[in-house]
Amino acid sequence: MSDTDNTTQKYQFNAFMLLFLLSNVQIGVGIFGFQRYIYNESKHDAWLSVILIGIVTHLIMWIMIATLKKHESFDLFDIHRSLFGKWIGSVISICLMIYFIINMTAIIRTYIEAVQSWIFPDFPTWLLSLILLVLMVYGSLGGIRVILQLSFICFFLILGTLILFYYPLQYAEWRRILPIYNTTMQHLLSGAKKMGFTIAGFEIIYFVYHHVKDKNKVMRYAQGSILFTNLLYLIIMIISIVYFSENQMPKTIWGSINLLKIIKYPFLERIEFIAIPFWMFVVVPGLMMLAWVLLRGTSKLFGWNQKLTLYGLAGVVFIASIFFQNRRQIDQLNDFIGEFSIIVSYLYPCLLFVLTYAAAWWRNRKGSKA
Amino acid sequence: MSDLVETLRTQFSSIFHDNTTVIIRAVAHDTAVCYLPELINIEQLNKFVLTPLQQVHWVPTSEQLKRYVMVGEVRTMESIADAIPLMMKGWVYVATPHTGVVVNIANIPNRQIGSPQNETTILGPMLAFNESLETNTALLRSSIPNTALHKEAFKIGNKRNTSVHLMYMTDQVEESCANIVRQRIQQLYSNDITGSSELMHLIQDNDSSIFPQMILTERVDLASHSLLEGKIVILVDGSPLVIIGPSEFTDFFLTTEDRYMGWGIGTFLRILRMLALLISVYLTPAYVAALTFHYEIIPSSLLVSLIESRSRVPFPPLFETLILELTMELLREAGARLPTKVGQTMGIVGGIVIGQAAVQAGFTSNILIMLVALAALGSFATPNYLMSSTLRLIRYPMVIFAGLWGSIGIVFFSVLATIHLIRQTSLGQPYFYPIHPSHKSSTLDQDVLMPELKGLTSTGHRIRKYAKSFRLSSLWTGKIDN
Repeated sequence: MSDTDNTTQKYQFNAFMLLFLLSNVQIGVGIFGFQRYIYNESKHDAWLSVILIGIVTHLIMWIMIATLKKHESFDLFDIHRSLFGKWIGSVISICLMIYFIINMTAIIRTYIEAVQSWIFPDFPTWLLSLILLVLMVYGSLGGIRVILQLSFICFFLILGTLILFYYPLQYAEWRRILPIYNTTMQHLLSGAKKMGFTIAGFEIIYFVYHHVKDKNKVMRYAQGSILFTNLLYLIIMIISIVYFSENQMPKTIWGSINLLKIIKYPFLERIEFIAIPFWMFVVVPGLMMLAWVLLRGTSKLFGWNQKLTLYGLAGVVFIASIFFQNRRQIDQLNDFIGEFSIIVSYLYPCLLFVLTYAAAWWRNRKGSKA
Repeated sequence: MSDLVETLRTQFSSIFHDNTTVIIRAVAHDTAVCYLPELINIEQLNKFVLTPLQQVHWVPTSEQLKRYVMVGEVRTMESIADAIPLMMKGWVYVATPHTGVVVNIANIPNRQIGSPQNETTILGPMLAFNESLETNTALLRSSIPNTALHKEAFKIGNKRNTSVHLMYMTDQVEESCANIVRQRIQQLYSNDITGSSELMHLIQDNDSSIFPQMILTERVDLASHSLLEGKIVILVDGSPLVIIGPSEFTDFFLTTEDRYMGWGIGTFLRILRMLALLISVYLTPAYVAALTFHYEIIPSSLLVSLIESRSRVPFPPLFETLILELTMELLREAGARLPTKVGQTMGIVGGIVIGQAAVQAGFTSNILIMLVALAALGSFATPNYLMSSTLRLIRYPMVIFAGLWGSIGIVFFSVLATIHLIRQTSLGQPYFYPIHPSHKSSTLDQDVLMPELKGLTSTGHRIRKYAKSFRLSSLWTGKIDN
């Protein structure tokens, strides 16, 4: 424990950095085409689903931080060990790490799919995968500070992109949003569940909390970050609903990119040719964050050499990403990850919360008895 | 008496291997002066050393010698071997059979203090450093007459024994940075260096990076300004450039003139320079990417004129751009190497003859010539010469990646460069941090100059905060820092 304490001393950062870090992990490739999935469930009330899941996310974030506070300066791997014991705890941690590896593959593969369907149909999958992984490895070697700084840059990139969405608003048909709440609660909820997959990723608070210097401010900035993400998705969702027609929407795989497509300047058009490549700035820190979590996990559980693990991880993800050949397989992968991420990001934190408080209560009782 | 001269002569000739380098002259009673004639001030020698020594009619002790010689700096030296390093710097050795003193009447050839030649500004002080360490230290001392200005002296090199001065404000400096510099300079005591730029490469954090991590400047106002900001200034004897560290990436794009201009124009100029940075790095790669892969992003009306101008060019855009960029570099390099008078002719030959002829010969398109010239202008707008060279250099991989993978290539290299910049440090301090992880104020804050709050202190003096900077954090903390 003592040597990890030393390393964390070096890399502590202020809570306000969470504002950029969390939103960056949440906003990844999912933003390219999340609209369709939610629209399929709750139709033109999809934006209500977004609000619904947003509120739930705020709650879950509160639960997560409350759990972490109870455990003082542990990260999730330590929590597993203290709650479930060495063996079961390690198994759960390993499951989680496998989930993160699959998640990385899904992110890379989805990004490549976007590039191939919009910019370069013939761009080799392995090459683009290699490009992303080279960047990930190079950045990860610099530690968490690189992730933090990059996510700060991304924050402004995302804000800049958001401004671009004023353009499709000119063609908005606001009546499409009416009538409000024209669906059943069940559809609304299943829409919210689909949305949950898109904004999942905030569970990394379990791992970075340990590194935050002023822990009393974590709640403020983490919630702020969630709010930013929720507002961003809400705005894009509403714009999509008023822009696309009823029949168009379910067929639009890349909703957000389609929105950008119509932007025209006297010297520039087809902004998506610039926006998709530049989204690499957003994708890479997300990958680096997951890699960072994985490296911490493997060095904590197995004591593996971090650098070698990083290269190995890049190799595994590389092979996994070229494994997926077509759109259908990627969709299947995303669906699988989607189910899983709901469990990891929304259900599992609740379980941990309950267990943590139960354990504390149990210990208290035992203590008072003795 | 002649005995003393004879022994000195044999001793010196065995060290210097000849009899002519050192002049040995007997004065008065059993006393002799030895010096290297090129390095001393003859007038001072006559007036303050020879004349007073004429009155000595016994064998003087070193204390008596010190009293007779009317020069500020006198040191006792027991042996010739000790005296020689100082004699090589223009000191005179006054010897008696038993003892000796060295007297500083050096007259090292030196340049007058001039105005900055390479970092010119329109407003502001016109003082530049020169090659003399003493002059440079004096310039900084007179610019900040404060006891907090601390100086540490070091010697580097076996042969040249170069003096290096480390200066900083004791109340402002980050002590860890000063320690790093001290350690690194002490580690290279056996390296012979010829100038401050060489020292900079030896002590910077990561010398394999192509980005300069410390600023070299000839401007006194920039150095003293940096001192007041808590930075460390390193002066090297024989070099008109001082090293300023730790420096951040954005520091390379700021000039002191921005502050002399007032906040509005100053901020405008800084934004302009950032724009120039983007233009110089991205303009030609964007051309290559757009014309090789992404015709779609160019509106059709613009595309027509682009294609028209490219219709006669037989090369792919990548080659066309590389050829023209290299020509531009050649012109710049030739212009820098040629004497000034010929250099102007060079500009005409390069700009008009080659540019015009290349288009007419169907080598390149008009538009590309314009873009390459704009990109060059952009890189020349960077105030720091090392940084502007780096920017020109990173354009080549950018162009090549743009030619290979289009916009993906451009962004790939941008992310790579960004990560690289974030990973660098300057004297242990972060080099490229858009936002500092432990302070809420970012470096971006300091780049926005805001109108200064003018007010009156309790004693009725008008206060004017030095380098008032705008902090984003003040927007929400409600605190106005003054």
